[in-house]
Amino acid sequence: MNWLQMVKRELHQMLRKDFRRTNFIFGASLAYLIIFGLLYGPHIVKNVPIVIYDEDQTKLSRTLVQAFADSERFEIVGQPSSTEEMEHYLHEQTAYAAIDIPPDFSRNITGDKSSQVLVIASGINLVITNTITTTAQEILGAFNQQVSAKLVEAVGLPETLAAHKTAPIDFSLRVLNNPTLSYLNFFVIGLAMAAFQQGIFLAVGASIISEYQNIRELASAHSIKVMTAKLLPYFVFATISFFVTLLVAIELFDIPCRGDISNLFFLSIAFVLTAIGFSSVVASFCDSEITYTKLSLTYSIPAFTLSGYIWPLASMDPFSQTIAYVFPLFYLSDALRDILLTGQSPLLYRNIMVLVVLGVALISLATWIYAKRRHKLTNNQAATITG
Amino acid sequence: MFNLLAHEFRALFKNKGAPLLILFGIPILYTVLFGFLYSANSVKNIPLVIFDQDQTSTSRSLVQAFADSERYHIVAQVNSEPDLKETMNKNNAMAALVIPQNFSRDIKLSHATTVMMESNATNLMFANNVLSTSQEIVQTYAAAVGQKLVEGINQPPTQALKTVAPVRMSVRVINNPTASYSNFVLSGLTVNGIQLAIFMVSCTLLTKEYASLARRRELSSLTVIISKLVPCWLMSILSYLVCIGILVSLFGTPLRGSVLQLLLIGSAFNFAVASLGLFISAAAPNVLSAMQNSAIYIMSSFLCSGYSWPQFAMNSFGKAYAAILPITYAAMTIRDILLAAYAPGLLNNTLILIAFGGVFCVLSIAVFSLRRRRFVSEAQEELA
Repeated sequence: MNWLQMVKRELHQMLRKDFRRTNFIFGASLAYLIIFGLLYGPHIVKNVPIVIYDEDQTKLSRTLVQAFADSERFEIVGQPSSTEEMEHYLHEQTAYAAIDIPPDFSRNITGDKSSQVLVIASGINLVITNTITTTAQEILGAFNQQVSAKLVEAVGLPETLAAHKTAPIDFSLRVLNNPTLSYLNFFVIGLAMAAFQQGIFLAVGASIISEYQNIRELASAHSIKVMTAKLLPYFVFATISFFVTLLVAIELFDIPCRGDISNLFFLSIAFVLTAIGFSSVVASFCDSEITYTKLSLTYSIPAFTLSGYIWPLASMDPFSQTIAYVFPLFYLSDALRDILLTGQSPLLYRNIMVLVVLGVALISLATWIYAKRRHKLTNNQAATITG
Repeated sequence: MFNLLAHEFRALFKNKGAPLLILFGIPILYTVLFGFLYSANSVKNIPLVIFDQDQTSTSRSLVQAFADSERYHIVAQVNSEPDLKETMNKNNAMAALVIPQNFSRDIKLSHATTVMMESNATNLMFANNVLSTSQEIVQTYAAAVGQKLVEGINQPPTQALKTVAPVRMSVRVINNPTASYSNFVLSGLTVNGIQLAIFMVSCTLLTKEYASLARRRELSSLTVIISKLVPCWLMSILSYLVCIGILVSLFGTPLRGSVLQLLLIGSAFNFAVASLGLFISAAAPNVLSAMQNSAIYIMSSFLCSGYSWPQFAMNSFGKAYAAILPITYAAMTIRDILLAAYAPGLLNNTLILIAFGGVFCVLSIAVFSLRRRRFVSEAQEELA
């Protein structure tokens, strides 16, 4: 068989004999992209159910209640009239936070004491806790400024001067690259890439294992030729799949793409190379596709979690850091998100280099194993026939 | 029946104990691996760059306030806008504090001055932290400065502080007071590992059964299904308890609720997942493709369950998808029992999971009998 015939044979397997393989390569990342694109469609956490226990019931306390009601981040689901009732809301998780305005709230402010508002937040789900504390802080900060300016005005200072005295420093926050703090932009592309990796694993694994099961078919061809011709179609398909996924992410889910297409191209082909190499080596050791699939599924969750995509590398313990460096996804996801959202990734060239070196090494190893195992298997079969 | 159960128990030890290795190995591996990963508990030492254009003692005291916070680690002080940009672009810093020129003078003259915080929000883990902590630091600092200014218009210090910060906010975080990320996420990842392990074992259980149907023709479908389900289910409960033990003893996850409650919801969940796997095993023409195709459902389920992205923030697609996932009813309930000692949905969720498992059990029995009948009649036709 010449090169072309071998590539054709593999394409025939991918498209006719075992269409699953093509399905994995294109389907996995798209399925994940769509599921999570829809899930994180709202972008940010809004309408956190809260209750406000207004023990003061004055004009001033109602202004504060109104400020909470006006925030899109909160939804007031109850106004309890006792501490027990307030705690009941939290206990039953009908509300994730309770704002307790003390009875002498207004009197203290106009008098000579300061007043304390208590925010009780559930710490069980930190995504919610974070929204509660940040937003409450913002609301109370603004409320403070208004009230204190009025207090100084009362001493006889003009309005603007009073405002500057009481709130001498304006605080402005500029959120770069993902200004709306969108979870969709932050999260979804990484999840799609985890599935993309899985798709490559399953497709290449199926191909390698079936090759070992029909080892005599290409027994006369050189092993480098066999492996190259076998893996080439997956390489091309996976690269196309990467860009299809990206296109859907950009067009359908409005994930920004501020980076350069050539950077994306080199990063993707380097990653595909490594993913193909990695799966070829692992598949060479598996006796059946079922075992291989189990391994591959077990691997996928740690691969994503330890890729530094969410939990930053700097916050990992040395043990986890070491493992993270071994996972191919570590070199793709974070860099890809950087390219999409910021237009560049500081470690891009390092990542591409590592992936290329790793990819070439793994594919060479898989080829070497193939040559050895083929030799052994064909010898065994010949011995059985002659014996 | 007893003999059959004993036989199926032994089967879990076959192939060098592969099924047992999966049932115990994956959940324990996940628990330990992620336990170490999140051992830092929170994101600290966020790399911060300072662009202080004022360089006065006032501005330096603000910088000091950031330096004193364990959340930040000052990695650089830059002197120009381009340097600032470069440091941020190179990801050497995830946040920047920009203090304007004349900061100190403007404060003294009661002119408005603006401190700016920049945050790189590609990873929200950093951005959310920057958002809440920087606001707190600057507000506290501003209150102290404001106090001094108001003292200047002849108010005594305590009165002045009260004037600039009439309302103080105190935050009490209940059930997870240190906002530990490990407490928040670890038990869910363990439950996810258990789900994956049960699924992998149960969805191959009936495959071999079809091949050896002739031998076991005398057994009713119900008997076959029960004998397959029970050993896998019992072992998975044991594995679940071991993992909870590891979480609590090794990784400091609090156990505030009762073990019995944990056992109740865990058993119901394991039953639901095992039944689902068994159903797939009964119905699939080819186990391999069944396992691979249902992988998307199993693998995506944890993130879609409302465990981190809350259900009230989901759109109708998210809510509908979460409703059909067994893990939705288990993972959060288990976390509630661990952290809050009480899970409002415990009874409801347990019943839903039992019903879920029951339905798939009945379906497995129906599909198994149907396929078995077809197999047998085909075999008889071939013989004839």
